[in-house]
Amino acid sequence: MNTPTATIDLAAYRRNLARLAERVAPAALMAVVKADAYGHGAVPVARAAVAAGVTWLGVLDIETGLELRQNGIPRDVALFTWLLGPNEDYTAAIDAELDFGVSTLGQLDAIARASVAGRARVHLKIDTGLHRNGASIEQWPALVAQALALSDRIELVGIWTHIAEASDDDDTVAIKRFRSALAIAERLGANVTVRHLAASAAAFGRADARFDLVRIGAFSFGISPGGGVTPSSLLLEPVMTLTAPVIAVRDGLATVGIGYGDGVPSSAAGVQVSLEGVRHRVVSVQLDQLTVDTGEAIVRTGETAILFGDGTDGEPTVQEWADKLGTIGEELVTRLSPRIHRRFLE
Amino acid sequence: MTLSGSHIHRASINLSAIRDNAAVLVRRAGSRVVVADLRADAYGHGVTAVTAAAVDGGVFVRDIDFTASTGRDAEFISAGEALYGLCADRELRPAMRVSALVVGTKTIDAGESVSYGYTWTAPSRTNLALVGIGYAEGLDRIASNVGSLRLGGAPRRIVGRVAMNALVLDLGQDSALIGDEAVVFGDPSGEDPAVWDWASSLRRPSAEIVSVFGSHLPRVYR
Repeated sequence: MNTPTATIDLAAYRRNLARLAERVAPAALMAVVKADAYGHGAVPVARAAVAAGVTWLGVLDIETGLELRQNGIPRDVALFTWLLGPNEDYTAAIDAELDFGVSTLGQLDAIARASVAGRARVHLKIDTGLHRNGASIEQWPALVAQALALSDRIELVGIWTHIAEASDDDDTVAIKRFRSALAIAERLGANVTVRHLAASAAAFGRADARFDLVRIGAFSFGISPGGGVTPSSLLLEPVMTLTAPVIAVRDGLATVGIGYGDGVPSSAAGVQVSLEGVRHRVVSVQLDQLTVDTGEAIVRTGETAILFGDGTDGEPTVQEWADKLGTIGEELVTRLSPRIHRRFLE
Repeated sequence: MTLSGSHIHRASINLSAIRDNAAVLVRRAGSRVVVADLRADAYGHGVTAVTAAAVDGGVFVRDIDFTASTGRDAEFISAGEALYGLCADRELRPAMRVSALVVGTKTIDAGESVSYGYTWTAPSRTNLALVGIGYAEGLDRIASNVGSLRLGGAPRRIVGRVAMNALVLDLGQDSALIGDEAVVFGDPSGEDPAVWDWASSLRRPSAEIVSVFGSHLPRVYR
């Protein structure tokens, strides 16, 4: 291939989902496809998830939810949004039967005002310590009461939170706070069937974090948390392979046609790429190319360099890149330019 | 890419800055021919719009008529960073402005922590603003606890880890409203922070910063 390409192995993605679904059962699995499915391509990935039997998709914003509905994601698949701006068009979103993760009375009222034809599906968010969004415990009773008071326009489907995953003990505290918020909601008369707290790591590791539904993004793409935890140790397969062509060879250096303008971090000098099954070190990263030290190896223009993949042919995984660069795999895959060609393997 | 309906974050591109920068570069080049560097989708500014603005300012673009229109023996200068206003130069203006809206506000007590991994803990009771931009939009994760965005007339430090689609700013005793705009960088001749200061705080090239933001954010042209 003569252009930078991210090859997305949808079969591997479906296998990851199947393993994760088995692991978290009886909790249901929400496949998180926000940020263009972590750079893997939201529409093909969402279709693959639905084909694998997933009935919840995490889409983050209304725009993505509408895009997925327009691309045929059926209405019996719930599309969960939770990054809600001050100027949202809730009418279109309610028409498309999106689910809303709501943190404030203001959001609740805006949704209720737009909900004239049917009832909008709402999940109320409690802040259990992450301190991003979510109602504080002081605000919580009023938020629940208002949702119940608006029951002709709002269906209170779920209660949820995000946890920090700073330590097991911190997460235990967050789970306890979540249970308190659930108890308060019940006392106020809420009858909520979908309680959700955990993302990949907690869903995988802690039965007490799973509740009715878990939200899984990173692990479904075969991206592990790092720090020695590899995807294969979790029986997960990296879904994306990133390749680019060798465009010039000279004096033991190969020039590969992908650069920081394509989303490869400029700090990537020192990481390795694979050429014909042999690893070589990246010397520098420029706007549209990177220079690789190939030493004595025989490398030809037109060959394909593998930047990262599933590791089965000896190439680095995205986890290795992330560990080397002091970040997480999610940043590397979402950073890739949408202009990079995505090739999908069924 | 089109503007999202919700306008939570955006890269606003000032095409007149590109046109004016082009004119400055042409004037400085004298008899030499200035050619626009349009790689990486015009450094994330959008190749189609940038081409028109740059040509308007007198800069050439490499196309099939290039040799015929410039003359075979002309001496060429490539205009990249300068064309987009990525270097501190009194005559050049940055073309890209990156901003995002406050989507939530919160007050926390001393000892409470913020975002994944609890990497920041409030030393005293403080107000926070949740802003709808994160590393999936190109705001580097290494800006966690380091970078600042301008909000409400002052730089506000990012506290806790930058998440995929959101970050938290510490406002101290000040406050913000949902819908307020936080600016990552823009035109420093006004109040906006400069892209080169943002880039150097992260030890990355400005060209990388604008290319990555521009390829992920909805772009708005003005």
